[in-house]
Amino acid sequence: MINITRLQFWSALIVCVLALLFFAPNLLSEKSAKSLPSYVPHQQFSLGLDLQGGAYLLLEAEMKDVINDSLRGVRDSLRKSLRDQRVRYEELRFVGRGVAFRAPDAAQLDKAKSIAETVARDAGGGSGGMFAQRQTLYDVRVEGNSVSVRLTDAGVASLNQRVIDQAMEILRKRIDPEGTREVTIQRQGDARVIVEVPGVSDTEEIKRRIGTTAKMTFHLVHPSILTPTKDTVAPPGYRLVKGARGEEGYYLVVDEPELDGTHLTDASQQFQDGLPIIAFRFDTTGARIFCKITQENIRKPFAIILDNEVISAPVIQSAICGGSGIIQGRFTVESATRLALLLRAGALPAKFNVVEERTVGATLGADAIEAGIWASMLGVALVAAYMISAYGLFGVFAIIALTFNLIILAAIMSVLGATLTLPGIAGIVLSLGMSVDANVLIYERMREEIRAGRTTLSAIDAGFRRAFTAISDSNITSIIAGLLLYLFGSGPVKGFGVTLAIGVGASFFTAIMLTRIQVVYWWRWWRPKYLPIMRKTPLAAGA
Amino acid sequence: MALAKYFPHATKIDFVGARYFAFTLTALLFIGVIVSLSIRGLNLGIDFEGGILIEAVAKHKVDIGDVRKKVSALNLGDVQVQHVGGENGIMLRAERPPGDEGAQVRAIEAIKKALGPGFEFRRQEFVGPKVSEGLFRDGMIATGVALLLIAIYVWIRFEWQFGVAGLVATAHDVTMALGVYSATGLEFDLTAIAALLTLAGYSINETIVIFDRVRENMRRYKKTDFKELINISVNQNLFRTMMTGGATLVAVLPMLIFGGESLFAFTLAIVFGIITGTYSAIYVSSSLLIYMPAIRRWRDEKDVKAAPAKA
Repeated sequence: MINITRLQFWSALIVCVLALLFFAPNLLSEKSAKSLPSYVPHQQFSLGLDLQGGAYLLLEAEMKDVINDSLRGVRDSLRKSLRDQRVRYEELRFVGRGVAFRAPDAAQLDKAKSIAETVARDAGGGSGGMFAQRQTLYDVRVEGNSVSVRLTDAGVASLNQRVIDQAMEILRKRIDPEGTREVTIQRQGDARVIVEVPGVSDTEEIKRRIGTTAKMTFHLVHPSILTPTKDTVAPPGYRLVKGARGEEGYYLVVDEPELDGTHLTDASQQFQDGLPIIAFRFDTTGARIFCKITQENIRKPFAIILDNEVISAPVIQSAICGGSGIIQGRFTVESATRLALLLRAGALPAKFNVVEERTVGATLGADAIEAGIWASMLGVALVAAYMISAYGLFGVFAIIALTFNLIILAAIMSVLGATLTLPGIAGIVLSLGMSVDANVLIYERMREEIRAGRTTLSAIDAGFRRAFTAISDSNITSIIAGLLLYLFGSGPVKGFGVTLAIGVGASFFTAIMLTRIQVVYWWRWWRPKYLPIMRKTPLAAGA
Repeated sequence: MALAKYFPHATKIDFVGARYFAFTLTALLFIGVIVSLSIRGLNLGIDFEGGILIEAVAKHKVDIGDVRKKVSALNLGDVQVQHVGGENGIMLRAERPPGDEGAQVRAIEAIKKALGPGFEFRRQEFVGPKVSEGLFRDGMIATGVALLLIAIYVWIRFEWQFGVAGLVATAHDVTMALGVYSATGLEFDLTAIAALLTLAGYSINETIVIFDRVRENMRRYKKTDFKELINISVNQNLFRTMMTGGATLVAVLPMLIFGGESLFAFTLAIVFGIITGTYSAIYVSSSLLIYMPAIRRWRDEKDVKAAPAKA
């Protein structure tokens, strides 16, 4: 342990220099760090929301509706195919997570089965091109004369996946339309999304923007029943829809929409006769369909439905073929602006509910970071005083190693883009304790060896060698704890786990390598007859 | 091979001899913790129980009674209001209103409106029922798996007897820390889980350092009585155990005093953890080894016939 090879020396030196380089940007202000050229290290570690203030929202998709929609689609296409191919069926109904029917005519059972299989295969489509592996959401089962098409567990997972994939992009467009805020949106678990918006303490506006699916559809209205009530029974092919606030009453609309919001290319808030309206543009297909509908239905009412409420029901005055149109609802400037934004961003594939919210005001964050930094610096200073008073020059060596421990920790966190949270600061302080522990183990061992009559050199050697197993075993257990926190923890706890694991890893290097290099070179230079740790009476220093 | 020659300046405290005293103390503390847990329970934070937490500060003194009156008019059930960070700040904790998550969002808005203008909202949190159950489960899993993995690691590196003793000692410290949370009524939240895991790591660290010495001494003094051997090992390490505990305490204490309220519970648990971790490493884990089946491995290692194991 007293032989330090050239390789060891230089690699330790390189690690330290690299750590300093990657740590350095943290000393700069955020702005000047960003202006650094890309070939020099410029990443800074980011502060958690508890330190810089901001909003954390955990959203959960209401998958029930998505699944029901999918099932309804399967039922409708089953009915259509069975009818078209003249297969007799009865009791077409929902069963659990599936659709089932009976084919009373035994001769037609095979045909019914193949129809069900086609429907199941088609329902699995959606994403994926011609050559892409199509994932099947449904499987078909035949028992006696009853055929069922059921959503598989893999199908549910795949639906979840699709909904979240689509939603993440749309959520980003809604929350951060200009792309200027550093919004983090990430998936969590099956059907959840974490949204983090730094610097925002009022979540009202965010929640309003993500609280609706903003699914817009255009429908024709029943030609004769123009003023239905809530008790009106909808004739087949029609649906009773409530009017939005300001558009009191009920509407009987054609179930199948003529057009939907996916054909919109742009929407904005404008004024007409001093009232706020929404102007929109269709894509080419949308414009063609809209042109055709308006031509054929002049002087007939038309309903624009947003999230199952009629927001506007104008009477078509003339054919609109320019590809643009307006919605005159009972809007305020604010609500029209928001709706335009939502329409531009597109409809969410499911409704999202906020299931967890944490907001930290900027001042609380600033107070926390001030207290945290203050306390950590005081802690480091006290540890330094403690170690130097106990071990003299060797204490100084330990503190130098400790300083590099902190620098390496900060450098790794910057490179990984890890987030520093308040518990993370506590994790750093704790890893300082562990780092000091390694030095204490080594020095105490040296003391013992000296007392046992060894020479200084052999005591140094034995100190490092014998302390090594204890240090590595104890550090590995701490890293295990840190990793588990990272894996199972959430939010600040995760940050703590990362910090602890990196800190302990770094301390392993600094305590073993850096301290050893310092002590060994010191010995080679001075060839001392005694070690500085032996000058004091050992027990007095520890009290 | 006279011991005195090796360790003339070291302490010679008969830790093993005093183990019954230590066991009694541990048993009493343990009963205390169980009683406290069953009577007082844990003050579960909104992380694990769900609910609403709002922290606000005004430019003027805030009358708690007034706030309570305003908020109770909203019929949100049990609402706790207390000062935080001086007389201008308040912290408000409401239980989860019935209904879906939307009800919680509306409740937060209602509370903010009821407080009226003039407040700066420093913190606003709500945790829905599904999330809080998940968080609690994940926290428990993390703690359990951590303890188990650490024990397995010790088993691999040492012998199973050490793994069991280490696990018991660590569980002892985690239980004591739970007792601290229960007795003081400090909020038990996600950060508390982090604290428990941290001190589990610290505790096993202390224990391993002593085990490492026991292993070394088993190789060295093949004929020494096992109880005596443990005494020697603990004494040899005593100074280092104290020194490290001291250094970690010194590093954490400023955090306890100046770290602010958000870190207080966390650091308090850590401070207690350092103390119980040191205690359990000396008394619980080492003394437990005596009651384990004989560990032969290192004693048999070199010269089996010359030094038969007598444990």
